[in-house]
Amino acid sequence: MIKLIKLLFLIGVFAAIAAAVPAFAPSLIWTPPELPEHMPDADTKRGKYVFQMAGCASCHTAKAKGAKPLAGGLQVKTEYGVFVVPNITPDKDTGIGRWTETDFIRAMTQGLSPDGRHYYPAFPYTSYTRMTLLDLRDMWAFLKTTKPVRNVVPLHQLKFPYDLRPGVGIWKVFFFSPGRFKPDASKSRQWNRGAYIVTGPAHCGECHTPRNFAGAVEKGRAMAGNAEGADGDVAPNITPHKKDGIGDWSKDDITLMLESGVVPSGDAVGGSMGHVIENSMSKLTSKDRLAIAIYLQSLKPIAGKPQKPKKPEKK
Amino acid sequence: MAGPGRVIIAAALAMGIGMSYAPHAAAHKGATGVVMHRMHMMKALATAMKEMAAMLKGKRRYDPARFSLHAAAIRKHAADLPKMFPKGSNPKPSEALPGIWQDWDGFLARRRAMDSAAAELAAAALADVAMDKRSRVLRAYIGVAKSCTGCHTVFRKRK
Ligand code: HEC
Ligand code: HEC
Ligand code: HEC
Repeated sequence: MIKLIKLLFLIGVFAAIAAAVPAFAPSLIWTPPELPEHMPDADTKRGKYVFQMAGCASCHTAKAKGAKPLAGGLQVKTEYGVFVVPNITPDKDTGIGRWTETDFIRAMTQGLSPDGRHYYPAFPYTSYTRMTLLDLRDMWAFLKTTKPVRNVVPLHQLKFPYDLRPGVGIWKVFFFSPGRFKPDASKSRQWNRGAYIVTGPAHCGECHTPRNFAGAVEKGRAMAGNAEGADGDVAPNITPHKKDGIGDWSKDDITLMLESGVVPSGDAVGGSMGHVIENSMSKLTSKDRLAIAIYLQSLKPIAGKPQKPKKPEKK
Repeated sequence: MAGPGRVIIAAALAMGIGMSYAPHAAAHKGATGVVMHRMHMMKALATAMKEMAAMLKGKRRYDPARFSLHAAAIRKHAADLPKMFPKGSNPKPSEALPGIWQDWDGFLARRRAMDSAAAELAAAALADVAMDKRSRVLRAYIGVAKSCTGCHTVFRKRK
């Protein structure tokens, strides 16, 4: 399994060297989006709301005591090595203070840096690509109002060959489908709002959908649970399957859980979902939480609970 | 504890709201000793949260007096919590993280957060006995729930 993704990475690296351009895949050559003519002025208050919905602070603010908001430094341990999350405060030298709005939209929707390098999908642009331009612009306007923090973040410590960034390019050709959320006209506005939040900014599937051999989400089992979620947490099946998912939860059960973290048994979630509740879901309007519940209840029920692979006993 | 508090606790005991976590015959997930005791205590908290949620969602008859009793019970559990976590007590199958003892002050702050949220729940429930303050009770309930989530986010790791 790991072998195949290794191979993909190496092919990617060679292809990139051969073509001598960082973004060699045709689907990834990018032209800035055309903004509609009558875009309203960016709204920082709305931008803050979108920013909370998107849970950026869960990764970009380190957990250590006294860590400054959005100044980076959190270490994300994965089977590919350790990612160190960057500083996204508007600091000119160590953050993203020199970026333009276009740079930002490109990073969020295409996973490309201002100088054309590929970002690892440890940054969930794979979901953020669904976001509307309006939301992205407002979020950018808000980010620029946050406090600049000087903080140099160390480099990722990834294993060979994952440390070779061009490899991500080939990964993207197979596993990344950029493009904005497309509303389904046959469904209600509330449903569409929920679908947008869940699959776009709130990126629920990044944790709740299992991943294939190459670390890409398995679309056929969307939200059916993932034994190897962030931080090694098991993210449960949240499809409306009666036995294995949350099929016996009412809408109120779901919205109360999103607001407070308490599940119908009376227990409270923790770990990475606790951050999602604290930083993100508890700050939404009740209308948006209801939209999420409506969307989750409309999903196809999928059987099966995520099973943690048994670790071999120590010898 | 002051007079009314004692009355509430006595009433709680009379109404069978779990305030004690005396060792049960069956060990919890194979846990023993203090770990088992605190698992029972946490279970009692969950049972209280579940019953209150059922009332707030209209699945059970709403009764502010029950909220007062649960709030008092939660405060009692909050007071007992520190001694339920002696240093380094997280052998298998405990879900407690070692961070508890590396950041004991942070852990105590989470305990205090639960205590003050439960105090507000008690006040809200008392106010609702006099007049309809159900929305305050709901908000206070969510406050308590968030205090559970807050501590679990930092100090508990599900196995
Ligand atoms: C799951 C963790 C996670 C979340 C959530 C997340 N990021 Fe990131 N982000 C990362 C990682 C890891 C990188 C580094 C990627 C790389 O080096 O290839 C990154 C990189 C970035 C960069 C590029 C920074 C640079 O210096 O090149 C920007 C900008 C960014 N993120 C913004 C955001 C915003 C805005 C949000 C919320 C909408 C967000 N991120 C949410 C993990 C995350
Ligand atoms: C960073 C990873 C992550 C993200 C993002 C995430 N979750 Fe979770 N979720 C988890 C984990 C881990 C758990 C298990 C937490 C626990 O039990 O302590 C969980 C638990 C849940 C539960 C409780 C399920 C049960 O059976 O108890 C629900 C419902 C849920 N998540 C919904 C969502 C929704 C909706 C979103 C998007 C808005 C979301 N999650 C985003 C990791 C995540
Ligand atoms: C100050 C921190 C803290 C607070 C506040 C807290 N918990 Fe816990 N909880 C823990 C820890 C730590 C564990 C893991 C204990 C262990 O396994 O050793 C736990 C475990 C649990 C368990 C699992 C018990 C078992 O049988 O394994 C439940 C249920 C639970 N908590 C419910 C709650 C509820 C409901 C609240 C709020 C009313 C709450 N907790 C408040 C720290 C806390």
